[in-house]
Amino acid sequence: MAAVRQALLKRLRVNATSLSLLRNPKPSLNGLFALTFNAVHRRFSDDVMGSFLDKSEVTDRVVSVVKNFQKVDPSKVPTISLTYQNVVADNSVYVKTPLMMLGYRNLMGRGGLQEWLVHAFELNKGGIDVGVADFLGKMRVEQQECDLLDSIYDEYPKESEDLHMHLLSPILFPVAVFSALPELGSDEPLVTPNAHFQNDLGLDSLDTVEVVMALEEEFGFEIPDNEADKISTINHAVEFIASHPQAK
Amino acid sequence: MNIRCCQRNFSSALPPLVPIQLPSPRETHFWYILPDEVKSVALLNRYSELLSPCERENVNRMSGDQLKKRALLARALVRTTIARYQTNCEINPRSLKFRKNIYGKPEVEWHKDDNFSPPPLHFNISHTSSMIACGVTINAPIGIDVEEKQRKLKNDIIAFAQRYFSPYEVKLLTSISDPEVRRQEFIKLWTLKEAYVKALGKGFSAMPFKSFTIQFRTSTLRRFHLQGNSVSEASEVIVELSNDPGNLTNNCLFALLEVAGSHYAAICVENDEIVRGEADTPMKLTVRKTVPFVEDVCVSGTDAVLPLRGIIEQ
Repeated sequence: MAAVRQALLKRLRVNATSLSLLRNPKPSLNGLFALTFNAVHRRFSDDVMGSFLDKSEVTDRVVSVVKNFQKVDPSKVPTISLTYQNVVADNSVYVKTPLMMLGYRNLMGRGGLQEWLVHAFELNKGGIDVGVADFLGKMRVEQQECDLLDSIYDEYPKESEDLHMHLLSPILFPVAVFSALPELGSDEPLVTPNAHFQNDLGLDSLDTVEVVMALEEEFGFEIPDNEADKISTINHAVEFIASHPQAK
Repeated sequence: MNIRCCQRNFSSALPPLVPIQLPSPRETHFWYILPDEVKSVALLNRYSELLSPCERENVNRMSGDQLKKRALLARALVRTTIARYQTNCEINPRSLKFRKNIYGKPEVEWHKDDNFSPPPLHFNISHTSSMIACGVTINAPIGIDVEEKQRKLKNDIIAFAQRYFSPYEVKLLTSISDPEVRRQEFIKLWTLKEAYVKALGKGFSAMPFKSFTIQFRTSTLRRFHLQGNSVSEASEVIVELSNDPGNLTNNCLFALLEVAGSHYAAICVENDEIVRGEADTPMKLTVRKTVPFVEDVCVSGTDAVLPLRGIIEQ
């Protein structure tokens, strides 16, 4: 973890203070941007009450259950072509990544950045170029984007060492994107927290019931039929489980 | 066939749909399409033109080409199938409107017009990756479910059944020692239960699978031989509600078929006309394989339709 942070800092081409500002928020320091306090929380609220499970942990476990259920055939994994991003580390210039050129809105609609990043990471471990782009109109780094970076570092420590991060101007908020380009529209089902069982993963009613059963086994409590009926996305499952004190 | 792409009037862009007579009461029409047989991009585009903008958006929301194609064919099958049942005027599949009942079950929203009395059509669809099916009846709610014969369960069958099926059904499955036969019987039970809940149209919350039992009863058949129609000797399918045990009423007609050698299809038709205690009412069934605008084949009575359970007259 520390090694990654080191690697990251080494490759910074912008004022180091912008990174530290990201990590240690001070409101409106230079008036150019404002960070909300929440933006740098690594995890959801630490003051977890009672025996409720932490939502991000639940998400990981749910995603893992569904992935095991899917059992994607490794030979069906599409190849990804890597491109290096030309980044001008000039504080006043930003570069649109190929990601954006392909239609960022599409990706957001499909569960978006997170889905794409995890997908890229899983299919191309190591040697991935991470470029940073702006998303016009965004005035703050979203909490989940910070969380995402953290979780990616955590989950793929080895690969993260190869990351080449190019941070851009402090005016433009850095969000990491991979410049690896998975084939958009490939049939590979992407198991992400936003995935819809039917529309994204192609699960039918029997599959969904099977997944619910697998989740019951994973979390050690019974999900009643009328609740199971409402679970049509991974997020639904996470919400339900995380709000259930019986979940283990 | 010269299809002019810019042609918006569908009737001159494509050969017309073969019109079909409405099913009679107690008759069920079962239409199915095999997605792998529909490869023409031009044809898929034509189907896409039949959809409402909202439906097209839903199709595009699916991830990947396979799911998109499946969603597209499902909507195209429903629209073209219903459009065939022309009563007093030609129905354009593109102009059909659909809505959901208060429980979320899809139904046709007929245009209210002095000149047009809408047929009391009921329909239901089901799909797997390799078959999309649509069942149609008159006056009676219908539910259908199709599953691939070869479909394997990821969980242990008995564990699954203990969790979701009724004790009677668990016992039935447990008593089968051959794992392959057990798996097949499981799939058959699943499709029948799905079809029943879909026919009732109130969603799974209203009728959890554990709350009813599918039973098979070999009945004393009165054989119907009507001009070459054949009645299968398969057993009768009845439902017992857990909160009303011992009362084996059957206000539903069931049929379980093997279709195209590859799928199990269950059909359930609610029928208030069936008097309690009156047994052995056959479901009159017509099965058609279709590629809308290209080919319709009636496959009833052929190898493509193998009756497994229920009293079926083809």
